[in-house]
Amino acid sequence: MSQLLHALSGALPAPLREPLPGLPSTRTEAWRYSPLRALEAKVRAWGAQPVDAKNVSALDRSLLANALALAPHDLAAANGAVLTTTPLNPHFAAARSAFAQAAGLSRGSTHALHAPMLWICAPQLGAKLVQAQQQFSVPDGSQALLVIEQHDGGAIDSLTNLLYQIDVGASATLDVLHLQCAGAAQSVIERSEITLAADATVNYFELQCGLGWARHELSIALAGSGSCANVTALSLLSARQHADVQLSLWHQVPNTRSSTRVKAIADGRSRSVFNGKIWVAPGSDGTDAQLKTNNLLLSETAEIDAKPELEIYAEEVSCSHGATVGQLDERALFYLQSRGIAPADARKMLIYAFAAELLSRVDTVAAHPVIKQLIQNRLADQIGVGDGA
Amino acid sequence: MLEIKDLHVTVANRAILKGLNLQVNPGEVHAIMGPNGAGKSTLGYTLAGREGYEAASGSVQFNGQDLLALEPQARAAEGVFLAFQYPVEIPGVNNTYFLRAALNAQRKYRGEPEIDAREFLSLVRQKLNVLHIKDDLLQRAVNEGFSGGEKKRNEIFQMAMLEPKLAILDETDSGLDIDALKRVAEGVNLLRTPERAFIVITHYQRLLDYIVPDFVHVLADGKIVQSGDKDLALKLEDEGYAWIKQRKMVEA
Repeated sequence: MSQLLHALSGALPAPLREPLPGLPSTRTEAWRYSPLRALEAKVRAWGAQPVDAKNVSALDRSLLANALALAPHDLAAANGAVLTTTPLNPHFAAARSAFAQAAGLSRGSTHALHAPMLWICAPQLGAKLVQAQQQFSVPDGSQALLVIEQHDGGAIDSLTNLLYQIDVGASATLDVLHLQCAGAAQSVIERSEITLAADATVNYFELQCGLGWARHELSIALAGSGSCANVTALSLLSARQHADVQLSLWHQVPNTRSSTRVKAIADGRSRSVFNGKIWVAPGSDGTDAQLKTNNLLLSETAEIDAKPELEIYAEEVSCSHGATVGQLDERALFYLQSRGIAPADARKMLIYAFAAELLSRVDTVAAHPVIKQLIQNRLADQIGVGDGA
Repeated sequence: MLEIKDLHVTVANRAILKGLNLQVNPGEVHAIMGPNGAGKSTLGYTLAGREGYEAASGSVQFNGQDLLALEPQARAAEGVFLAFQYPVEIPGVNNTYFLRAALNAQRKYRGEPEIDAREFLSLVRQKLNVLHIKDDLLQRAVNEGFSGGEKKRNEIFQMAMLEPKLAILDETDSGLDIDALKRVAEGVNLLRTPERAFIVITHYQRLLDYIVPDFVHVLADGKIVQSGDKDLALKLEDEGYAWIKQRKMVEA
């Protein structure tokens, strides 16, 4: 569990004026590029105020439910049991476990994913602190789809703090489609812990196109021989958006594979942070781990901090990593222009192509149009329209 | 149609074109030959409007307009087409999508209605047929993973779709084997009309066996030093570019 979550779930509710215990500072490497000061100050300023808590009826707002033909009964369980937006304790240091209990979730309850499941998290109007944790399991030999969507919660500042723990059984396959489309006033901190049994596969796709402050710690344990993790992440950032992806791939046993492609497009004054760690346990021969991050920097005031990391304690492995940060290819821009396409449109075409290239890694083809549209929407109003967008 | 007068172009602080004059009329095919570094490609880029290839002095009139004052996309819409020596690979941008966007952008500029998907597709089929190009090229990303010959044929296909008034072929023969060269030349010949003019930039005479020019110009050290008909190309083939250098030395 991250230090922050640890701090948030501390047993003692601290008075708001006191410093929050245990919050990591930027001296901690994993938090170096994502300072929490502003967030902390914001949360503290909220003070103790009663909030009318309601369940979010978010189904009709789902981005993917239609495209994937998710039937209402597939969603009901997730919708009723999981959506817990009630800030029972307005203190930032509210124990998440206590919160989960009050919301009717016991820490041990686990959703078995037999059918596609949709989890939507959108802070209800007035909800400032949203905390939830959920455990999922994918039974041996089965195939499951988990859709996670974060929606714009409106103009009110909020912090969403989520923990997912997912066990993927032997020879099972889990596809995760994770759309982070929170609003500019929202901060989202997520941690996903995925454990893969023998011959299990997870295909994780994440799109970060929200406008606020987001951090996702994605930790995948390849715990069974023959297990495989395919991670694809795309961040489309503009304005003052901050998106941080901390990926850890734990190759714990011999003969596991991981393939990672991460792209960020940063415009305006945005900041993209990516840390991709591949860890190979002693004796885990036959590990195959490939990680690539390619980034597009579109303005002089945007920042991209991308760091691949290899920590290998085995001999017979095939591991590689690569990171690039660049700008749009001037030759390609001129080529498009020379065919009659205006520079602004040519830029958009190239940015879109850079982003959409990752879709070839998303097997759930029915989701492609929705993802494409989300990319287009971001290009239409915020990204690639020039410096300071 | 095209009138270049005393054109001087500086690229990265180096003078490349040093007083180039050229007149091209509708329907004419002009070959520009010359040794490496003479400024052949610079001429193509300057006419198409590439950044960093701005004219220091001189003028270029295209159908009565100051071509150099136009943005590259406006030049394209006015009817100037550059077939690149090294067509750029654009991963992720579908060839068909790109062509339709280009065609509609040009039509919009000219105040013409956009072409709809069905009309566009039938136009594509028609052009593919004429050029004997397989349509799998359309499903792929622009030039991505194309062989040298495929890239050049894609340039000619784009030319066929965009129907320019003036086509500049920048070393379209480079990197092609003889079969690919013949096919590309055949495509160009099919696009020759009494209205459309061509500037064929090449290092070797070989291409001119298949695209027969009306005029041949020798470009050396930033200027056209000799003009003639297609026999001039044969002379260059026999004697190489050395005699031009000798001639220049004698003149000096």
